[in-house]
Amino acid sequence: MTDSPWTDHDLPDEGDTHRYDLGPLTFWVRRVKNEVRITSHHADDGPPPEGEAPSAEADWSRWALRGTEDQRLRLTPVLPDRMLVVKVEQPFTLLSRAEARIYMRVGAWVRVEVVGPEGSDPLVELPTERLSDTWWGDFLGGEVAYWLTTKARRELTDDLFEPWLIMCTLQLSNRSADNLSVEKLGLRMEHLSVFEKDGRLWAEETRVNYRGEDEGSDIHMDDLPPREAEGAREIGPARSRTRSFRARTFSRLRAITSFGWGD
Amino acid sequence: MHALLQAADSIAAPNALSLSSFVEAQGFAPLVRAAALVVLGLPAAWGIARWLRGYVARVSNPQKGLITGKLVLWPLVLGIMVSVLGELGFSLTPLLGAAGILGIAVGFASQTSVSNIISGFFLLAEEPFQVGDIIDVEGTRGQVLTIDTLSVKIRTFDNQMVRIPNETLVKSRFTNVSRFPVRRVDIAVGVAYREDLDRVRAVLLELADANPRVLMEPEPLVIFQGYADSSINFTFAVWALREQWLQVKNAIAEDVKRRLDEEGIEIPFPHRSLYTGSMTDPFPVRIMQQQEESAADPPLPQDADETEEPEDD
Repeated sequence: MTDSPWTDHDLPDEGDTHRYDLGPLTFWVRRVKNEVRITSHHADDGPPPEGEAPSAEADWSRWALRGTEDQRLRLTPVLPDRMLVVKVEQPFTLLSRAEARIYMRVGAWVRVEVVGPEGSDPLVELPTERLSDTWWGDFLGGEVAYWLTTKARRELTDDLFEPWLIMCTLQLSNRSADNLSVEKLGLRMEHLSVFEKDGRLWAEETRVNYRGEDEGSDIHMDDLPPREAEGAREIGPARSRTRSFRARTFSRLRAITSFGWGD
Repeated sequence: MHALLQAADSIAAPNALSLSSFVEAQGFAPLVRAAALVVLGLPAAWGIARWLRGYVARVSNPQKGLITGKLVLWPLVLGIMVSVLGELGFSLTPLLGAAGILGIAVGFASQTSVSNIISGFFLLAEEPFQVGDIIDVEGTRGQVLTIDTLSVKIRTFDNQMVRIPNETLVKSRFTNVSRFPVRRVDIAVGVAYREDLDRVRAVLLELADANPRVLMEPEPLVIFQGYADSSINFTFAVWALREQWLQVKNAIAEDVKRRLDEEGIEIPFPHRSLYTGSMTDPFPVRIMQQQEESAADPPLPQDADETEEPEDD
């Protein structure tokens, strides 16, 4: 028996409502006949209402199921559906030929599915952390991403883990002849799976080999959990299975000034 | 003129023959071939052009699809018509001669149309906008529906169709509002002279930070604009995805007012004082209609509150 929320749950009985609390996210699942209704509340909007029922003005999303016999509600942690731009709160310099292993926490997205004998039906994905949008790249060739600030920790402590936070491990390697200022990182979260061990969530280790400003970085992701979570089992699939590619990963703060004032 | 008449005679000659004499001389075969060219050839040409247009639109963009479709359709149609005339025994040489002479006459009469056609090709080739983009042409803003031979048709946001000649677009300045994926929202904010400007700046940037739809990069800016008559003016500039520009603009504008009110930061506005000829005389008030309720509420003394000017904020 585990207290992890990342498992299958009974569907509420007819007319009942179940409440789930995952960090800043609270959501409710109600059943009305063969219909499942879900509404959510985020701590950024104030404290959630007490008790099992959501507020009266809750905005419900509704799904009519094929049936309710032998149907279960599955909660799966997945990583954000877009690239993540990670700003390091206290930037550091990675000297030429040096390596660094850093840890950062990313709020899981809760994938809510109804599973039964006929397979699974994904209903909705709810982010536990509400991330701001940002833009990565130039005005023509860039892409929309989520923004996250991190302390880029170099060591792990028990208090860093929460059931809704996914620990991402980055192995940075500066293969260029120049020093590398690590201020912002563009990480493609859609390629990462989620693993669980002892109630803690982990993503695969991402190895980033920086080769210079013009050459970009080689990025590689293992199919295994990082060594700190050896033996963890995969519970959340990656959105995309590309394991290795080359991309621009590092960005210096000076790049921001190019978006400055003036038409 | 003589050449024109000669060509007309040559073209008219076959028409002078009756259908029966044409059939006697040529048999049914040319008629059948001509009919087949029209019945099968034109739909086939249209189908090929349509397929190519869709294919190029899928692999490239709708703009190039349009160009490809037009470039394929019109030569095919021309070729079919030439073949049909050939099957029916028309001599093309005088026809082309006549067409050249007529072309000059028609050309003078249709300069605008020709200019629009050529401008249309320039627009398609230069691609200053594509089908689906939002453009602003001399104050008319809407979404581009089609880029046609003579004109561009846009749908305004109140759902009207506006036809803009291609020549106008080539000659005039217009704005493509949706060309780039991110846009800036500029909100003009004025605060009272007594306010702490560092605090104002911090409050505004907090607002941007709190709205997840405001892009963190390009970073939000608070730009000092100047000392105005009754306020210190800033421009609060935040960036948003073009699809969310309107929502962000509304949300930020409302948030600014709400938050500045909460923080007790004054947004001043110009005051107007009315005088009746002398600054010192009270403003006369005359009650036009006595309300029934006034019996319950004793009237205010005329020489006090009703003549008092409102205090400055």
